Amino acid sequence: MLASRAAPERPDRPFTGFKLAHAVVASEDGQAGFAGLTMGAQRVYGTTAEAACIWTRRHAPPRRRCSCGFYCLNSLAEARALSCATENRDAVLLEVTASGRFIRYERGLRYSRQRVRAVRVGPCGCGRPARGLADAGRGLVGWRGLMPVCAGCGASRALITFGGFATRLGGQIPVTPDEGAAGWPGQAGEGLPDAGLPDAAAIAALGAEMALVHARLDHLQARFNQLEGGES
Amino acid sequence: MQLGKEVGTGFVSDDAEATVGEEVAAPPETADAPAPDASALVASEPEPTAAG
Repeated sequence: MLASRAAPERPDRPFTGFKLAHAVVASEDGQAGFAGLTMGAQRVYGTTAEAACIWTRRHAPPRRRCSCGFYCLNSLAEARALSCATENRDAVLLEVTASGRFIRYERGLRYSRQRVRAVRVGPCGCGRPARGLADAGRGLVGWRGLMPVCAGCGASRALITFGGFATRLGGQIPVTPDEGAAGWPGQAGEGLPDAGLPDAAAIAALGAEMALVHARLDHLQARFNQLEGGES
Repeated sequence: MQLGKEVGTGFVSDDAEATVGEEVAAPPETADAPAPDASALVASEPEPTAAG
């Protein structure tokens, strides 16, 4: 094991890395946080956090022959590529400072301490740029999972704006749309007329008109039945 | 999350952490050292597969 024989490294500065996480908000006080994608999916962490092994407390992460610790990739492009995977489509991209004990790999790090420096939110599931975060319909005990949504898809949903999410994180971390994230290969709605957003007032008016038409039809049917009865 | 083969271990402190609440964080992607490129070292450890 060549790596284990190498002298421990002591870099002058912490590492910058990129990773995906699920944005969450506390049901009680609205505080924001993040949940991991796989192993760390059941734990919520804030903007600064110390890793803990989910298997045992007898060692400190990261440890060889265990999968514990925070993970990050060296490359922003690789993190974006990871976000294309089906199970990661709702995740947000974090830029982190990785410090503490670390194990360095070809493409990234496992490490013990993390500071989130920026949150980048990818596109809505429809392909349009996200304008906020909405309830994803999943969560952990005490925490609601969030997902990126655009203005159209989020029109009739409770939305946490990027600024609102940043405030809930403590106000020190920028939360922005990931402008570099490739959405759909074409423009949203390309080749199709823009149907516009559903208008709640218009839907209500149409419903009332339909009820009126039904009432008129019932009235006409009753009159028709009376006439038929008179002729027989 | 596939990170590839292990190429080194160590410890690094985050001196900025103590002051991050008092001052504006440095611009992303410029303040900290990027994770170094893979070296020629090869480890026999299994590749980690989970994201944390």
